[in-house]
Amino acid sequence: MKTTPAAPAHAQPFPWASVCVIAFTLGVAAQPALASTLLYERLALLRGEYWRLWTGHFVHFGSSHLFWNLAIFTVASIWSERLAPARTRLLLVASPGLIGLALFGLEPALATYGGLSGVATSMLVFLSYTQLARLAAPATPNKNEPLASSPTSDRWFWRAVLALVVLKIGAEFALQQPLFTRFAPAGIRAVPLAHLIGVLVATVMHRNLRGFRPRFLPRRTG
Amino acid sequence: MPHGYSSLARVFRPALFVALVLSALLLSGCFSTRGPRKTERSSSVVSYLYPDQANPLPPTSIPVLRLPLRVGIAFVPGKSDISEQQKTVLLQRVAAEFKGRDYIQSIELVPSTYLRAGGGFANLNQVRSLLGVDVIALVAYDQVQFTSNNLLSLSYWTIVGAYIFSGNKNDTQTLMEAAVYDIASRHLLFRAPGASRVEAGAAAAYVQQRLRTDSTAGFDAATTELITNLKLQLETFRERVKNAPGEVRIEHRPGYTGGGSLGACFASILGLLFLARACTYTHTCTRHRT
Repeated sequence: MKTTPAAPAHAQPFPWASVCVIAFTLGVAAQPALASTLLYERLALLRGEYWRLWTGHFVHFGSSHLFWNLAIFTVASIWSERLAPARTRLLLVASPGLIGLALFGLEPALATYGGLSGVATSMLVFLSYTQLARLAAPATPNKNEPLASSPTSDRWFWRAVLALVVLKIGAEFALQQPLFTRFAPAGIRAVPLAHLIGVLVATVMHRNLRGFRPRFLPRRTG
Repeated sequence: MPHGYSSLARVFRPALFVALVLSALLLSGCFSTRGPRKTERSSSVVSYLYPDQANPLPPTSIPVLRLPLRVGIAFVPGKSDISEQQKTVLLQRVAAEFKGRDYIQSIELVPSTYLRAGGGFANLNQVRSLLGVDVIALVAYDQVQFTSNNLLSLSYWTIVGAYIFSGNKNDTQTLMEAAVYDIASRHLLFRAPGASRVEAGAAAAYVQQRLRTDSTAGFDAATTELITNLKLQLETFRERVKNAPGEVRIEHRPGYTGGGSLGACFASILGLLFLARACTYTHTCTRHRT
């Protein structure tokens, strides 16, 4: 087992993007009046309120729904942002919109949607990929992601996380009902498509944008 | 004693006796000293849905259930003296069983005035259009009450005994059944029965009052059993739909609300995995150091 020591805490970037998303989600939960403006609503989208593709994910249908989604998102996103800040931030911006867009295009029967789980799944899968990649190539540091050469985890664990996500999505599609969860308000269905798109976005991000850093930001040296 | 009086008394004594006996009989006749009596109230799903058909044809099309479902619940019209209030209370109890399920959008209690005796599917289609329900649970019942006398009924001869001693024995047998139909395809989706038996004694003066109380108790107990069976049948139906998709087609209604949720269970499994990883990691580090 590889046990390369992790980089010192002061060298790890502050996960400000994740903190902003968490704060925004909690803010929306604290102000229920905002939900009607931010929720994914197909009719409103057709009227041209396109921001709902992004913001719908931050509206939740109850405290339990919010708590568990946010718990997983918080761990996955902060951890991921500290390991691969640039790609994580890009993923945080892109995945809500792409998931919303996919739901709009592929699930026309879906009138209303809310919940951070699609984005949280995306972050969890991206974190697993990042950790597996670090374990596979520990000796080549990435200029843009300075902590890339300090694996701290085991392959079996990250593979198990990926398998669990795949199992959950597969079972939800097959059974047409949520596998591990039940919504408090009646009449709300789980949308496994959101989780699937989250996985796809994370996969594309990981495979195609390794070493990504926006051009306007200075490159790290050493 | 004068002779005239004694002859008068001789004539009237038997008459007085007969009069006393007759009045006692008449008075006691006000109370129940006859043989067993039977009261029946019932309604039938078959007579309501197929009033003039001896051999109704089975439906040919496959039922299509568009989730989440809009469900109606109604008492089948029949020969009954159950009050509308009592019906509403019983229907509310049944409706509570359907509530809180994610595949049910709404539940409507259909008032008796919307259904007419022998209305059939034509009547159900009217209800469907009026109330916007897809599926209807028709609740039918059959309640029979028997009243018979026991040994204590002899005390009714004293008149006062008819108020004190429980010389009547009441037996109330109730059978209820909820038959859930898909209105569009006319398919019976599933059914659930409930039965009860209430036995009680009553003094002759209070027999009718007691019978009414027993009737209510009988319906309550039968509804409780009906609800238990309904839960079971609902789960069996879900399994049947999953295992035999050709039997019932499930579609999702346009305009449903969806939520992205990972849930406590998923988070717990992740947490356990993480714990296992931490234990393995600590163990390996300790071995490395030694």
